[in-house]
Amino acid sequence: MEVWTQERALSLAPDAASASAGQSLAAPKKWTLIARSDRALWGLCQGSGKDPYQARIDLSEPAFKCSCPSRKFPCKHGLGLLLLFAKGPEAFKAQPEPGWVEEWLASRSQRAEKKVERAKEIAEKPPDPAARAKRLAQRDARVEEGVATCRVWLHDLMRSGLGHAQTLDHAEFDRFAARMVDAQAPGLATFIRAIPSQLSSGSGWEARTLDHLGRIHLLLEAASRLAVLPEDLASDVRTTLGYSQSREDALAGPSTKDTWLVVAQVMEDDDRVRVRRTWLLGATTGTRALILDFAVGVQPFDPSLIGGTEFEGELAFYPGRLRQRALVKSRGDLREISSDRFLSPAPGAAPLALDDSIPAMLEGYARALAANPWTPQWPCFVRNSRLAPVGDAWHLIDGLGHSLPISTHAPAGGPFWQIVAAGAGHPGVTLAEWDGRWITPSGLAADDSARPSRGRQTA
Amino acid sequence: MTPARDPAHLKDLIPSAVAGTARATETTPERLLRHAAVLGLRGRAGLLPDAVRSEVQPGYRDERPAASPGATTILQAILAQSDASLVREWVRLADGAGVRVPPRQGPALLDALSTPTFENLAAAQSGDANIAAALSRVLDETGTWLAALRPKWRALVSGAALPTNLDEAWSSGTLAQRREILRTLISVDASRAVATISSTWSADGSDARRDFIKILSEKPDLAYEPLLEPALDDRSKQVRELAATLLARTRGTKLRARMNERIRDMTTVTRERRSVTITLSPPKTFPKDYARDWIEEQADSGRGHRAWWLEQVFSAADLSFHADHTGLDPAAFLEAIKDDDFFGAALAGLAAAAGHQPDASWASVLVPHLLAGKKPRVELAQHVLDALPASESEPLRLHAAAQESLPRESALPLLHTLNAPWSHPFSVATLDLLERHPPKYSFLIDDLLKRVSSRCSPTLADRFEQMVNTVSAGKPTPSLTKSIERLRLRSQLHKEFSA
Repeated sequence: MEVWTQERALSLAPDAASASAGQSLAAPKKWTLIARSDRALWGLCQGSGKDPYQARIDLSEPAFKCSCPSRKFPCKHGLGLLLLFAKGPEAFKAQPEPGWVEEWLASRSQRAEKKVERAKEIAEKPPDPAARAKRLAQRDARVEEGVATCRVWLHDLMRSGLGHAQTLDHAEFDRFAARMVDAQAPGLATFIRAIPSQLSSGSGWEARTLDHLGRIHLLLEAASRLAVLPEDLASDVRTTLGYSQSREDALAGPSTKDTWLVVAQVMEDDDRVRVRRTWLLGATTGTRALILDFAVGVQPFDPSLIGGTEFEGELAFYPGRLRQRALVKSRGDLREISSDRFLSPAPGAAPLALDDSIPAMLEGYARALAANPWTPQWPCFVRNSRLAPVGDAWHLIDGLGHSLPISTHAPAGGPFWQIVAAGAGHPGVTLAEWDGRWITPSGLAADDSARPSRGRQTA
Repeated sequence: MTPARDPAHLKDLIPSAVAGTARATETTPERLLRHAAVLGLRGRAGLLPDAVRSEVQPGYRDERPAASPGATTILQAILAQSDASLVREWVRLADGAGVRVPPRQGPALLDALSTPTFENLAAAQSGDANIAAALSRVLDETGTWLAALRPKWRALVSGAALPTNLDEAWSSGTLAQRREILRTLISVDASRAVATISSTWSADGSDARRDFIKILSEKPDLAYEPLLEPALDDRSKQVRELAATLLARTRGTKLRARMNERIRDMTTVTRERRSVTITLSPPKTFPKDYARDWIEEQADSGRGHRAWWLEQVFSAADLSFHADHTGLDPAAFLEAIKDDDFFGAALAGLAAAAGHQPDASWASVLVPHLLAGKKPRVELAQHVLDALPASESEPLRLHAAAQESLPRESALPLLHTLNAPWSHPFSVATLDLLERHPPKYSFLIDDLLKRVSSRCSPTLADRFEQMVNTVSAGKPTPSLTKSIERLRLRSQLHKEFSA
């Protein structure tokens, strides 16, 4: 059975109010029954209704189900039950699963089986390759028209100059971006929408804007050569243009078995959709894999990947030159890992494939750019580095004194100050993302015991 | 025409890109974009890191053990509710238990206490040195290291730092900056605060002079007298009033001594065999020297001028003077004046004085007098009780609230306004009263029960929940539910730390 800490259970709460409500339900006397089997927990909680609520948790995911009417997911009962389990698993006696638990688990596994079957069907009977190629060709043609329009637009922009572009209303860029969405190239639209923020990015905006427009130009050039590009590069170009990648393609491709460490997670808020990038590191193979999750509105992210854990499992990689984006094909139980996992190799095991310095990380990034020049983010696991302020600006500084600037957005939200607090200015393994301009920190593995004591004389 | 050389760096493209290729004839959009693509990519791929140096030294190792996982989880729940009074309670209990806040909760904890809410500002102004000291112990090395990184956090631990060049900052800062400096100064060195204000006093406008005295009023100190006594003759009416009020609130000032003498002049003590009678005779015409000490000549309509003068003098004199002057204790003093025509005015004046001169023996006789009769003066009584420390205030409040003659709706405010954690008996009495005489349902009740839930003894969580359900007829509003949860959380918190 998996080990659950309260912190890990709380990380599943959809919002602060649920966390707090779950907390108050994590007391034995709130429950008229709590029990467990090998794979599940369940409990009865008296709410304001006539019948007690039936809360159940499938521990393999974890997945939640409750008879309460809450729209939050997981609801406070599920959360409270899991917190109670984290506090004292011994209070949960192993019992045969009652009907309402067994049925739910059975329907879940049925659904899961169907899913597997369907995947198998697809794998065995790939959809008519001719029809598929035809659909792709149709879309390529649509996109090519859009690309041609975009080239004319971009050239016009250059003819009238960036000075003139600065005077344009943001809405003009948004309108043209919308046309790129209509042309089925939403990725290109994202690049267009980002132009105004480059134009108004303060000192040095000229070079930044040029760099950005150069990237768009490169994408347009590549998009008009899709037919002659090598397959993996064509796939990267399509992804950058905004073609969605199919699970089936990933599952059909190569996969890698390893012990995967969930190393870093970065959330990003788009207008409607929230994106979570989870970086995994293979303990043996040294592979760095990216899992993308999307959530709409207040919907929580897939709870099965939690920072600071590891699992034995198999990842399938989406097509592309870097073979970086992946999906979890199968996995065992999550295990908590401590900072030590990053700081010193387990006896008999090889050290983890981390970056020894900032230049070493940048070298990896340069190789990634050589393979896919539109690589948006690169994982950054730098040994012996720390976050430090210089005036008001923060930097990542490695043991050799190299530094990179930290995103100015970082201090405003996310885990930035928690990471600063955890390190207290001492070096450790900084886990972050690099986007070619900024570092976005996500975590830090450090050894507190190595800190010097102040050695107070007074009691 | 020589062929244009290929540019070597992105910045070489800038002039023609900004002006537009329509004007820059040596290039075309296509050519410019191609160079931008190549050079931009080259720049990113070949980026060399900077080499900055940070002056911030790393923190020392923590001395205390980290709070238990249970206490940490409760802290997380408290922080999620952003309820600063609960955060302060956690800090006090953690300090008592000798543990520290886990580093990851440090930033949220510092944020919760430094967000400029009404409650936090009030807590900062009350200058509770105990909580600041407890906070730095609970933050330990890592937390204090962290707090030093941001000014608003730093102020919580060490108080705001004084500018290195104080004279310069004081003489050329904006009014807001100077107010901040003064706030910091009065918390560390009252004499220096006065010296600093005096250095620019004659050049400062009346707005600035008024604001400075207002800030001094947050922490009365005899050291301010050399500034305040001359300010009684200030050009600005507001400055004169503020100065007089502050001098009246400060023990040992000349103004208080003058008030004491005025009382001596208006009281005649007659001793008969068993009893003592005091006759109160305020002056018949308004003495000239009264105005300087901000005794108002005109009373509100419906009140006698002489009674008003007497009340003001009593409110600014030393409470202890009455015993020195008449040899009577507070109870005997009130007994000796209770038949006088000016008794009502004297009582109001004494109550006002007791509102800023905490004195349990005076409070214990003033409060019953204030609450007796057909028109109990509940607000004045509260004012007297608020000045006392909780341990002295609690029994007096209980006693006062139990007075039979007092209308029940007036009794409750005497209890729930106690602004400190309540003892168990006091909490029980308050809940009793609430249960037996629940206030009529209104928007006030949410606020009242919020107050109760953050001060009531946490062992009474179950009873509180029952009471809320009764009061709200089983349909608690979201705010009432939150109050129930608040007390539950406090109960968990106290259990966790007492284990």
